[in-house]
Amino acid sequence: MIASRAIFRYLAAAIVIVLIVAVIPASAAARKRKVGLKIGGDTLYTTFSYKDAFTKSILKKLDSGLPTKMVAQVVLESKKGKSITYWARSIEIIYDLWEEHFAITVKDSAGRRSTKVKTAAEAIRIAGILWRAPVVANISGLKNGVYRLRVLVEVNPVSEEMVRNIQRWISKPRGGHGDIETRSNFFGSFVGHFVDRGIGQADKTVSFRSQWFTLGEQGNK
Amino acid sequence: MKAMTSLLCSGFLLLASLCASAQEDPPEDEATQPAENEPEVIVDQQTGETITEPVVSWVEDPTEPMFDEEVSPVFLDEEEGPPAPRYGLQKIVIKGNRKTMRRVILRYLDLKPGEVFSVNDPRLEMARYRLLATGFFTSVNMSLKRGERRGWAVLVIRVKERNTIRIKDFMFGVSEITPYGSVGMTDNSFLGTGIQLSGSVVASKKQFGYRLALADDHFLNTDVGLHVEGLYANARDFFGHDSIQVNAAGDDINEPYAVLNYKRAGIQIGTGYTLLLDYFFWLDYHIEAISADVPTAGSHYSFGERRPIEFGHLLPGNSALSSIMFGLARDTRDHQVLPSEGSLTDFTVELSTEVIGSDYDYSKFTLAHDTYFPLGKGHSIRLGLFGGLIMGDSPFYNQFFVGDYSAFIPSRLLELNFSHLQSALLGTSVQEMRYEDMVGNLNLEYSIPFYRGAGLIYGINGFVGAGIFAIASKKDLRTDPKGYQGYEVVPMDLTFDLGVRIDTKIGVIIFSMSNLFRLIPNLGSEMAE
Repeated sequence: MIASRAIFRYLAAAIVIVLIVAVIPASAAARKRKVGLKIGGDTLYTTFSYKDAFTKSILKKLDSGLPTKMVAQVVLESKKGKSITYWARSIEIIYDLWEEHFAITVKDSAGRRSTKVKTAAEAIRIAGILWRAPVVANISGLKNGVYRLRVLVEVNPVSEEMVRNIQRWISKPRGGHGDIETRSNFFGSFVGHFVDRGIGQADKTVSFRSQWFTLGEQGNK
Repeated sequence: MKAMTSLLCSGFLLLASLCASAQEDPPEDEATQPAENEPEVIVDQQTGETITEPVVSWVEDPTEPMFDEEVSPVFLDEEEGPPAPRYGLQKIVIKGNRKTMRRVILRYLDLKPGEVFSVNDPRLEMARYRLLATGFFTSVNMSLKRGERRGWAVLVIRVKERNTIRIKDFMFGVSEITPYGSVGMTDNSFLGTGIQLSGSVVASKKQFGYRLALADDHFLNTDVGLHVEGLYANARDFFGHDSIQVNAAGDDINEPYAVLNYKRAGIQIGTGYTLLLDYFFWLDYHIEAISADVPTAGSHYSFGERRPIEFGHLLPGNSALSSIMFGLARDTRDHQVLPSEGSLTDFTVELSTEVIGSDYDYSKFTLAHDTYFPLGKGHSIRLGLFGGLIMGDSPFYNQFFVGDYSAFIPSRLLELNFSHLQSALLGTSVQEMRYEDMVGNLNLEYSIPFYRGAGLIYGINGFVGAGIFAIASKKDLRTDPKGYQGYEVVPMDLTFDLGVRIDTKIGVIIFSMSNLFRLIPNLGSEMAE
């Protein structure tokens, strides 16, 4: 009996060690991303790279001839968690099979621009960097407040409306059976699989937030 | 012993170090990306200028929701952009479909070879989602390749098939009369045809039943569905309320219940059509042969006096049931198994008359409505309403059964009943009711999401619910409710349940309090009575 109690104690200690060892690297491995901030006139500009959004599978799709769409969204958030300003840019990359170039179209508050490049690496350089993006205008009204920026970049996002429509569409088996609950059972977990993995999520999401800063006389702190 | 303990500890530590190193490694899909702690220099592509502004380090926080719900993402307005490339579709190549027939996949793609299309054509994206929605594939990817002539392209669809066979209707219980159980299996794409084949079997002491069904959502490649179903049951049911006596060889014998043995074999064929995404219409025809061994006589103590037992309208000997059913459903739920918003409304009508060869004249109407109110973070409340009315004499197994509304009485499986329990939580005249012609049910259920995943288990929701129902037949309204006073006259009762609903790769599993009652008969009977 005493021996078995000792075993339980050792086991409990071992489990605690496992949990500690497993948890510590997870928190220590928090990624950092270098981002530039600049105040020009009455506008806050930011510069950062999100090339890591181009994963292997997305790189593979890039020259598939079908469009790759990206949306980068930046929000200025107050200490109270309120979204003060919102800025977004959408990017579309299409590889032309016969012209053998990547056509890149960028659209944001500054308008629409498009360009063509020869290689995927060039396309990623253009589409994967936000260069001096004017994310917050009229900052004079925001001075002395404490803020942070939150960024979300999605590759091939799906609109909520699209998700809703498809969910509704897939929930209608057409076998002509009278018992709708029976029909649900027929399709239940398949729908679950589809909704949880297939749609409603972008192919890749990159998200991060800044440290808190104030928009003082010296620019950001 | 110490050696063994040390070995175990070493094992745990080894496991721990493996876990730690696994977390440090970047995912395979991101292995090519630069290390995040050493960001590359950002250079303006036009001026060659590098970043000179002050630089801050931002901590990534992928777990926290990014924006509040008021902020909506923006999307490219395709009409305003430069024209996307257009190609002539030379042919469609499908890869990875080892089981699924090519024609089944092509059914979901509206493009045909020879057609000129834009790479932004929404039909391509829709086809991908529609293929995923079939549940036949874990992934569907599309790409284009140069065709043989300039301006032409080949569409390549790569699919990764998944197991389409699922277990369903798996249940085991022990009533106060008999152990019982059921198991079923569904193949959602039988032999890769896209046709669903489903079979279920139910068995208990002296009862068994089978159901076999085929359903094609795209009959003859149209948007009209076809459903065929066969049913056979060798069954018995239990009648009488209290102090039951049955007549055997001229003598009245006291029994706990009066037994009616019957057999039924039938077929149902129907069609359905989905309109405007949310609306589903269906029309079925049902025919079955019934052979019943109805007891010649029996009596019980009911409504304060001894009365003859009514054996559920079933004709003695051989009879036939022929009926037409049609219905309309509107379904806006966001999920079939674990919904959190939207609603489901289902209205059905069944007509049976001698004009179509039936020995039973009746019409049956049901209306069910479930509304899900989202409370945020996946929590929701469901308000459920159900009403049903039968006019005429329907076979008892087609009537409204009290066990279908009370969590304390075993539900029927394939319309086979295994219990003689009566619903008596409130002590009202509902304890006299079993198979009846009218029912009304109102229930509320609070649902809490515990888990969402993409592996074997897709989602787990906890739920707690309560309801009130009333059930009776027209004759009961005319009966003097002797033995009941005040509110007891109203044949109503309460029900409640709590448990978890698990949506898994192999089917939907429910663990609930009512399941427990099914496994422990005395517990169920104590709660019911």
